Amino acid sequence: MCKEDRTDTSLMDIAVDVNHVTKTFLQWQRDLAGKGLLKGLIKSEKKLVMALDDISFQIRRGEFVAYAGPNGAGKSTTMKILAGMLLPNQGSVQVLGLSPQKDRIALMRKIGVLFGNRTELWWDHPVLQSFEWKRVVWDIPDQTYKENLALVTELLDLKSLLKTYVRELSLGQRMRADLAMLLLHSPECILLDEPTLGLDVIAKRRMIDFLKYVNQENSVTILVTSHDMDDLEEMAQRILMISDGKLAYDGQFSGLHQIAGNLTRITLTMASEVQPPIGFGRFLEGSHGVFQYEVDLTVQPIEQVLFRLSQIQGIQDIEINRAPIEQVIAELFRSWKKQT
Amino acid sequence: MEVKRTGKRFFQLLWLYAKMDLSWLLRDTFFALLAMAADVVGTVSAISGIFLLSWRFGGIGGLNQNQVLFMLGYATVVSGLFQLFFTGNNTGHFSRRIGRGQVEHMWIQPLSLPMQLLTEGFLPFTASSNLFSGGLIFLIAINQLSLTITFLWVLRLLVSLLISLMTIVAISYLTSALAFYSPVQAEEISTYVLDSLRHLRNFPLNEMPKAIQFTLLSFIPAGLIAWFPAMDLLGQTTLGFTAGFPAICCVIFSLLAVYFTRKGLNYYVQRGSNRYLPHGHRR
Repeated sequence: MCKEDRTDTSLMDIAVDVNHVTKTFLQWQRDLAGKGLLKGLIKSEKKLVMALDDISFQIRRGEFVAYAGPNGAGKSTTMKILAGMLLPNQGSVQVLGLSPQKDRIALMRKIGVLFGNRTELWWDHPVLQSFEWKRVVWDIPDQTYKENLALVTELLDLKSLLKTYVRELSLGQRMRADLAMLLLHSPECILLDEPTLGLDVIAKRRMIDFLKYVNQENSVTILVTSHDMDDLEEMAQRILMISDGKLAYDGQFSGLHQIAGNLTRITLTMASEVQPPIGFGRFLEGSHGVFQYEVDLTVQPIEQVLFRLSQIQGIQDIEINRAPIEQVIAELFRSWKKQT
Repeated sequence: MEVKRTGKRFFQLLWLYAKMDLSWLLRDTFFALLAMAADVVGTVSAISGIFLLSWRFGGIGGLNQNQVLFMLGYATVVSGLFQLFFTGNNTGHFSRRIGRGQVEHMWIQPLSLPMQLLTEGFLPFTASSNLFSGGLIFLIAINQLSLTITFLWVLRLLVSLLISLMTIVAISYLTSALAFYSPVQAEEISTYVLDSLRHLRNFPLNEMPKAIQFTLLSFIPAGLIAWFPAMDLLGQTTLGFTAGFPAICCVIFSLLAVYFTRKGLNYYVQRGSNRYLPHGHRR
């Protein structure tokens, strides 16, 4: 595991403390052949799946942390353990100094939990009714409720949606309303599992801006998972990456780029449709005179790249971009897979 | 102090769900009234078969037609109370919530699970039709039987209704616990079990063989939901059991329900649920 830019944390300063947590699941296995069916009847076959393998990490109060990993890596399992929905097999978890299992009710007053593929809103009622429901169930003081309602209504542009029935909202609108409801009780820590799932660019942008705002202005600790690594990089200061249930990286995004190499994409627009021989990097794709290469600048310094490119005849345009973080992650996961 | 606070929260939440039910009703009154009318027609149809048979033959199993009507009225009131307090959000059919992976929504509320389950199902406006129709049938039967109504009798009636209601709820939760271990197959188990009880409870058991009577008062407690308490309120004893018999059974079923539900919940938080259906969640 790589640790980058981590500072020591005092116990009072810790919002989330995950200590040597292991979680296993049993998966039923069955053969489709007749013999397999009979065998299953006598003794069913089960496979032990290690969802989390001795995971430890801490998140300081006010931090905005991304939690990334491929499908089945254990992201949602971690979120459910933190929210008290699942018990770990081994290890301990504390959120805001409370145990999600033993102090569930007290903890739920202090944190907010949102799963992107679910809603906490009341389907057959206007959005405002769900907010009222939250006020009573969470026993939110009137003044706090009014202030928070005004804030989320303005920041998430909800005014026109408050009287609309939830079942008539689009996915983006529903997610905004869910997010607004999440914040009505002034949570100190927010756990978000895939909140940008299925959202369009505008809805995603609005959500990212809002989360950054509550993190910066209200010092709310946020732990967020997403498949969209570029979104995570924009939102969070730190990233935790898990692969096959193990914590594979804990640090800043810049450190991640360093580990994966300084992957850069160079796009050349040529006068002709002939692929230019640049002599370095890896050719990715090309058509109609536009050719894209991947170059690792730690191997091929930028000065050399520019020098070589200046010697190629017929270049009309050059574009140099950093490789998308998703590609960096994919490369990392591939290399970790090979190692294990 | 804590009891007082819990009690206050309980009524606060009941009030909240009552308001939400009213707002749902007022959103679309025509369809709400239609649904309530359908409920009444369904209830009356369910009991009319037995009543018409008793009318045609001058009673069933030693009960005259008015006594049969009294028993059917009692059964309908119990059913109405169940609908009133446990219809909303499938609180009376917990196997659905378990089978659909919706229990996770409950963990993230700052309320105990019993508090949530005792309040979320309250629908005083849209689920009261059975209670009204049952009450009406019950009053007609009381009038026909010329029963002497005393304060003590009313108190006994209320206690009997509460015990019958709790017995149904306990049976529902007891069977629902199976859904923790087999969520797909047992998702609707409480519906099937309660439907079976609903069909069986309408039959007067007076002249049935003792083994059947005992079975329907113990292992399949349909007789405890209407027949036994109705007989008790009419001043007749059954199988020599005392009036406290339904209460003892209710306590046993409730304890078993609590034990197996807790055990199931522990299993749930160990295994989790890899199934989630939004259907029926907060609708």
